[in-house]
Amino acid sequence: MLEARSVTAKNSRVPGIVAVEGVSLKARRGEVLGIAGLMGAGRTELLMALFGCYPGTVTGEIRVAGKEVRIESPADAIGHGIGLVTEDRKRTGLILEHTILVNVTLAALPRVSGKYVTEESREISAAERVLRSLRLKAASLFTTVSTLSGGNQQKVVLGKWLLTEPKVLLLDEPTRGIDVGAKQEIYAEIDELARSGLAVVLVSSELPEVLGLSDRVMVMHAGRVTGEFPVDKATPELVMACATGQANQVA
Amino acid sequence: MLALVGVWIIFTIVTDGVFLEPRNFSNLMRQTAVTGILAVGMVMVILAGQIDLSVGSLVGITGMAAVLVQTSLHWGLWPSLFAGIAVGALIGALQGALTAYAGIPAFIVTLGGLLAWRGATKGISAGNTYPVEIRMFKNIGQSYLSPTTGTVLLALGIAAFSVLVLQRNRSRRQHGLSAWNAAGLALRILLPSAIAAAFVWAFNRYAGIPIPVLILIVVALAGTFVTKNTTYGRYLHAIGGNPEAARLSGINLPLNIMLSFCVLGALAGVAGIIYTARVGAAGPDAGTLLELDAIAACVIGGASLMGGRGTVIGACLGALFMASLDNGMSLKNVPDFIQDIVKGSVLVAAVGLDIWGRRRR
Repeated sequence: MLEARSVTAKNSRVPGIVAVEGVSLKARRGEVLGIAGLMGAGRTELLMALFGCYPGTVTGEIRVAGKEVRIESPADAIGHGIGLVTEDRKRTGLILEHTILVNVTLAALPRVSGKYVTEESREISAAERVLRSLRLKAASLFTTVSTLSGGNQQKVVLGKWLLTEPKVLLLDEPTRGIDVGAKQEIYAEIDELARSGLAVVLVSSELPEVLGLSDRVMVMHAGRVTGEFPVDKATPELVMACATGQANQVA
Repeated sequence: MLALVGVWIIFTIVTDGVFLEPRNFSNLMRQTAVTGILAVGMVMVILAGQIDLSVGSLVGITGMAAVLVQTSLHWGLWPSLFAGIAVGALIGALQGALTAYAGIPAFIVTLGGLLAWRGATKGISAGNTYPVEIRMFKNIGQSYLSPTTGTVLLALGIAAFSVLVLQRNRSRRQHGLSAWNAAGLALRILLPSAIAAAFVWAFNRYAGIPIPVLILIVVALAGTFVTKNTTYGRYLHAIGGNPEAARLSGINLPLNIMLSFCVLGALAGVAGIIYTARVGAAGPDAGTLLELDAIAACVIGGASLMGGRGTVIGACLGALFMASLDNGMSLKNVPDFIQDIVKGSVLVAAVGLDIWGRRRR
């Protein structure tokens, strides 16, 4: 579904820093591609490059559903069916002082409400539908998201992207700062999304999480891919070796 | 809102009732119109987390443009109105583009604009004042709707408003939100209607609803619709609330920000026309410092200069509040310098109280 070839991302503010170098990946429908690695390996930057929001020059070829596309802004990415759940939901994923309804409809307003004039009743229906399937626990759609727990906040973010009807969902540390119970619910949801046909790319620093959810695992080190193998071949030792640059196994 | 009523009560007592006399009431509301129209545009810019310090100079230059095309080019009514609004919209778009696309902070762009456009106004007028030549043009600032027309509009307005409230109630029931009972419904319809009727009655006691007030009402209704019921309005709230999150949700920040400046510019053109029409002539100093009144009106009305929060109705009430202070102090012949001290202090106090109140909650 999503195919990237030789993606390179060069930082425009700090010359000389190449955050992502020559990375190629394939994310298939119905599959979870986990990306493991240490902090600073360039995983977040890779997702940003795929989503059109990397602050620098991005080169390389990106194909969605077999067609080559140019992604130069988040709007481009969304238009091609890509969604990004960012690392820091409070800073870049949600507008904390606004309501659940406003946040969850934000990325798909023309589809879910109206191209120019908004229709609250349509928004409420769509929001209820998606948030019910995510088992969000909140008093009402008009609750301010800053009062929600981390898990519920993340569900609002997930709901926001589901309403854009994506083909590819990029997840950056989706369970960071979330309690155990909510974590399990989100794992189940990720599973369900993949099973329903989405291509899921999961970046996580928690090894058990990556090994537990993924069908295939990719490992990055210093901006490059140092490992790629199906999950049944991924032992913690192998993944760590690739992540620290000591091994290089692309199968 | 309480402050507004409070101020009105104080001034009525202090001026032995002159404050609320029909003629003064009419004047007060006419004075509110120009600031109010600017405030409606300003609130949308502030919602997006921006600011525009040049609107006073825009009022000057658009008014001057609208009159000069009459004097020098012998344009008629509609072309000159178009000229005024177009000049405002173009300047707004330019300032918006410099802010949104070139990345220059809005504060700086519009501060430069404040100086530059005022200079331009003095330049194209050579320092002279030009009287308005077209009668209909002057009427925009000086005429009234006949009491009959006013009452008819009031009735239509109340009917439309009632329908809207009932529709909202029905949609609340449809979505499992608690619908209002008969008493709640009656209150929600009757209270605003009574207030509107009181205003129209007060206007009709003098000469009818002033045209500037009518224009303000239309602008305020349009502004409320845009900020609450359009995708564009929702995007403005998002951009001001969290620009990064808005951008990552696919919103086009530069375009929406530029549009908000363009709309404010056009509204400054409308305000400039009304101002010039009311005075009867276009002068090089018209509109000086009006931006401060507009910004104060928005902030007193509850807008946050950080962006993401603010309403059109709040801005209008804020404008009414500022105009009431002006009007009341003038009636009591309070010296100009004291008026300025009072207005400045009230602005700081009003916002300080608002922030304190929020913190307590």
